[in-house]
Amino acid sequence: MAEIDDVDVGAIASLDKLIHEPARLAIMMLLYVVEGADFLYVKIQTKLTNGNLSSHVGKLEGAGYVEIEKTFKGKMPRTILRLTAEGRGAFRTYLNEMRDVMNGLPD
Amino acid sequence: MAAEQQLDHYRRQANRYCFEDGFMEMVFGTIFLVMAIGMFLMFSVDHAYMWIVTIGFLVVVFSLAFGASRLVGGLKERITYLRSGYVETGNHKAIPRWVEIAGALTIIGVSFVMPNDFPQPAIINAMGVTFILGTIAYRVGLSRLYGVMFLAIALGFVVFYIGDVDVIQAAGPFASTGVLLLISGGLTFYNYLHTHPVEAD
Repeated sequence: MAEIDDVDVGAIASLDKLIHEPARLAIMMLLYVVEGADFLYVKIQTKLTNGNLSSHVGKLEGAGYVEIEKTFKGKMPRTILRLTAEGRGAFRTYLNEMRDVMNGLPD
Repeated sequence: MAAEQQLDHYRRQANRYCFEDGFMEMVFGTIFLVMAIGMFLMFSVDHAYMWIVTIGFLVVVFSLAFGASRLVGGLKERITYLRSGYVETGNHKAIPRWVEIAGALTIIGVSFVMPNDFPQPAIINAMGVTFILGTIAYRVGLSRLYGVMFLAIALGFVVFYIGDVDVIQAAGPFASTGVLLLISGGLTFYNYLHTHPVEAD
């Protein structure tokens, strides 16, 4: 039976709640492994709707984790999403904390 | 950890993006076929004109290699980005540099130790083609590229046994792999168009 006293509940509570949401976690993961991606690519890979993706990206942009670059390729508009340096650092911290939480769980 | 598995999945998916539509395979296949034709011409012409063919061959191959990126980029702008979106993968190397160097040195080393009565061009070219396809297949995790690689190895053995003529041994592996890549790329492109509709705004 699990030993509840061995579980660091405080560590779980201190996880970055902005990242620790399934849709935003998927967005951060996806952008973490690439230099940048457009809105359509992120939408297809995360299987979010347009509105859902816009909302979550807006929150991540507001926190300074994601930057949005609107450019044109010829006459075609393109919106590129990239993780900022702060966003990459926050995600690395989140991954390390998650790893510690998982390793601290009893078998 | 599940998160790390998901990260690896996204990383491979992004690396696979370049080959998703089949354009890169068709370009590689075309380059391999041109190399095979060039080798055939080099064996066929009189030695006095060998230098013309060699220079022309090098010009064509390098032009193709440099022009291919622009051609593929243009095709992706018109076809792929409207269906799959656009991603900048960066220069992340999934294969350590030492593996690539060891592979190249192995191929060079084999050419020195191989007995003279062995069909060296067939084996060396087949090893080179296999190494190129193998490293690409590993990086993007596409099983069909592994399939092409193993077929290329098999065809290399066929050339080994039937190719008593130098030109077949030299050009055979490139020609066969080029055709395989063109077929694989063409089928991939056909399937891609049917499974990836243009995303509505």
